[in-house]
Amino acid sequence: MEYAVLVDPAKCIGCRACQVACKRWNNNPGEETTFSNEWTNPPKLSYNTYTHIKFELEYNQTTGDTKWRFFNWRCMQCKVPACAEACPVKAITKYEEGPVVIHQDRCIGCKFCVSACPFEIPKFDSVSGKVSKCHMCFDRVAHGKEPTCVQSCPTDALVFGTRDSIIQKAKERKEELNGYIYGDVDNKPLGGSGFIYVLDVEPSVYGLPNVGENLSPTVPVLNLSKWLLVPAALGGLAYLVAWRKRRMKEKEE
Amino acid sequence: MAGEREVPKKKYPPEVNYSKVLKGMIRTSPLDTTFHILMAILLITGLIIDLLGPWLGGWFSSIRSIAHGYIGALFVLVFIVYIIKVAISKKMRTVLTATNYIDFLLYIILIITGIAIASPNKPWIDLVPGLSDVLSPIALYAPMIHVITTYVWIVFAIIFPGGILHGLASVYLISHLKKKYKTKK
Amino acid sequence: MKPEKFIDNFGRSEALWMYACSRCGACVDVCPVYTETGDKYTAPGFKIKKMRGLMTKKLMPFLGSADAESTKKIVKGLYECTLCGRCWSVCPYNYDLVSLWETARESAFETGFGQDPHKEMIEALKAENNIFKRPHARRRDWTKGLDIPVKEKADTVYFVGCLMSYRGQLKPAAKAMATILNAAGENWTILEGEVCCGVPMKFSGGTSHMDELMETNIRAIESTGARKIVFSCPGCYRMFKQEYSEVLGNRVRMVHGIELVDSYINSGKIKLKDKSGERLTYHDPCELSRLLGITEEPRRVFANLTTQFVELPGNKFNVVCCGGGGLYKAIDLEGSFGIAEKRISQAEEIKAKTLTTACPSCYMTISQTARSKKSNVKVIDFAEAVAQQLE
Repeated sequence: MEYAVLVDPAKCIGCRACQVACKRWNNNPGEETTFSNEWTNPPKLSYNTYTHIKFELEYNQTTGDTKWRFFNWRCMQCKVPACAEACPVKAITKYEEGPVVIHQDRCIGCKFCVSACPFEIPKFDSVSGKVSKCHMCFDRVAHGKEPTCVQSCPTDALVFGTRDSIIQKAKERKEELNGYIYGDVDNKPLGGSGFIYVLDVEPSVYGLPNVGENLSPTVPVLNLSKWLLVPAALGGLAYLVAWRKRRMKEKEE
Repeated sequence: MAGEREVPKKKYPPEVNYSKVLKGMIRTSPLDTTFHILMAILLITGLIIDLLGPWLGGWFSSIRSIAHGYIGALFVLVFIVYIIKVAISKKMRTVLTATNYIDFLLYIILIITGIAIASPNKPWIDLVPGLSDVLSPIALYAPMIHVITTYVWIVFAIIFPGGILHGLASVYLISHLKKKYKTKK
Repeated sequence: MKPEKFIDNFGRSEALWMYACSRCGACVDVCPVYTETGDKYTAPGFKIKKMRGLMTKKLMPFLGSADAESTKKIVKGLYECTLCGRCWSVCPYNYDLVSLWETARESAFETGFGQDPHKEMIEALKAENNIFKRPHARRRDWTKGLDIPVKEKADTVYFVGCLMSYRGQLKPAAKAMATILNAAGENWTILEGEVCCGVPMKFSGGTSHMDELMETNIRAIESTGARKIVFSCPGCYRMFKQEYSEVLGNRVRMVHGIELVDSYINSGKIKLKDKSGERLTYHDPCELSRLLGITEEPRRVFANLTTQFVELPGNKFNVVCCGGGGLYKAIDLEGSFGIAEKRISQAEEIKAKTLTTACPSCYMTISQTARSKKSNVKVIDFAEAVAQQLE
């Protein structure tokens, strides 16, 4: 049974319950932050911060209108995760239920996943020497229970369900908003994602990158570069053959 | 005078075997020997991670990664000393070829990307905290460039001819001369 | 000239060496010719680099083919070398570089890249059995007025060699050797039919008729029934040890004059006068000290001759060439003397009154340089030093 989460930023009120719930469920320590002119706090995702709300204040010069955009940002739980492809020790698994999980016991901290992810989600921690990110509460999802952030959301900006039902809901909401779906239907980054966004404006306004359906060439190149050993071996073989030919000729003389 | 260099007496015609060659290498240039040993370890640990990674995992693999990282750091220091020695020594420039210089270029790429990858790690993040920020633009692509450059180096080192072909020729030659010397005796 | 064939004649170990060389550059530092001329084509490591390029082009033809001009330059550098073996002495692989250079020269000569002065020598050898193109019939002219035995049978053969036979300046040295052999009561002779030992052919690469020369000498020696051969020239000595001994085998013992003198002194066969106080030094010939390992015998001999024996810097196994070896003099006389000048300067610095050596080529090179430098260091052959101290 594949599950997904529908994210509806228009309903988000920026209460950050999801951030707190995530910390509690995963026993992640808080992060020391500093006062700045940004509301997004912590300002960046990190090894200990799997999700946060991006606060964007949109100011219309002509009309003088302001509009808050609250956007829940975290791992997209892609169908074909670039991070999993890039990991040399196969420490990242895409479960059929949907979650993409970095297994901490297997992670070697090489940071290939960090460079592979088009959303720049996996984060490295120098203390543990490993990388981690939102894992869609796979320990809960495995039992059919919604992730803890979804459970905590007071406004149903986050909704959990089977993938088919979520896509259905997304289509309905898109009609209502006259908006866009990001993650499936209209826009399928990396084949589609486990977190599906239904937006009232173009994805780029929310900072969602334009990621193709297929993996960008960098990850396969990384995986396939080891096949350069084949021409290397062939080259060595060519030298060996040329050498033996010479030796045979020598022996004849 | 023509290089006032005193070496211990050797017998002529010379006997060539592995132990003499290794001793000779260490005596002639301990720097070169260190360079080669570190390089070999880095190549082997790197290949183990990339080729055997899916089968290794957990703590074993992590140690590999640490071994590769710290030895890489040592290699950087040795390399810097080595490059300076090459740059200031006319003798080195007499015997080095274009292949060697391309080799050095590939090492420099490996070193820079390696440092970029390691910069957020401990202890470097504590010792040189600014480094990670400075290198962050390339840090994103660094792992990929690091891996591809390694394989490009391997192809190059065999075909052009480079270090690996030299190593293979050395092994073949020493075995051959060892046998020849035995039969002559 | 066949540039593409030059590398063809390299044997297995020579070809492998082109790639195995570790490019440590140690050989470059110590080469006397490179130090003197500064021309990189004379640097051993550079030669190997260049020859490796030719080899790679051979194995991977798409990289291009060897051209005559560049091969000529490489080969010229090959001949600008005294074959002193210093490169071998510092090589971490302990690879026989001297043999490499000799093989490369042979290959060069066969493919038409031999040097003209050497070609003349080879022609002279074929015609008159010596490299100076002096008449073979006059080989024993040096014995005129001296009591030099030419017997049919003897225990010991004194192999004089071309230099000692034909070069007037070396006549005192040959005479001195004869005196010593007589004083020791040796049953000795020189060969009636002696011809060149053949080492100039090895050094020039023109080895095609070497077998014939060798056969002549072997027959002459065997006919005397001698069990011992004495040499004045380390070149002849090493040639005999390396090439002739395969045929002569264990039946004949080969020694250099200085080894023989050492044994004579030890066994009391010759008696010496009281030691002089002359400040004497000894230049180790490369072939004798580095390539044959004879370093202690000379010191023992000189310790018996004088109380004031002084050592030159860069001696024994680490000796720096005088510049007279490997037929280098025929290629670059100035370079050769330039190298020798350094040796004379060193002798002057240690305030040696007399410089001895045990090689006619070293003797010629160093003494000619000493004369042109108007040095007050007297250059004599070791045999002269011994002979003048005989009772």
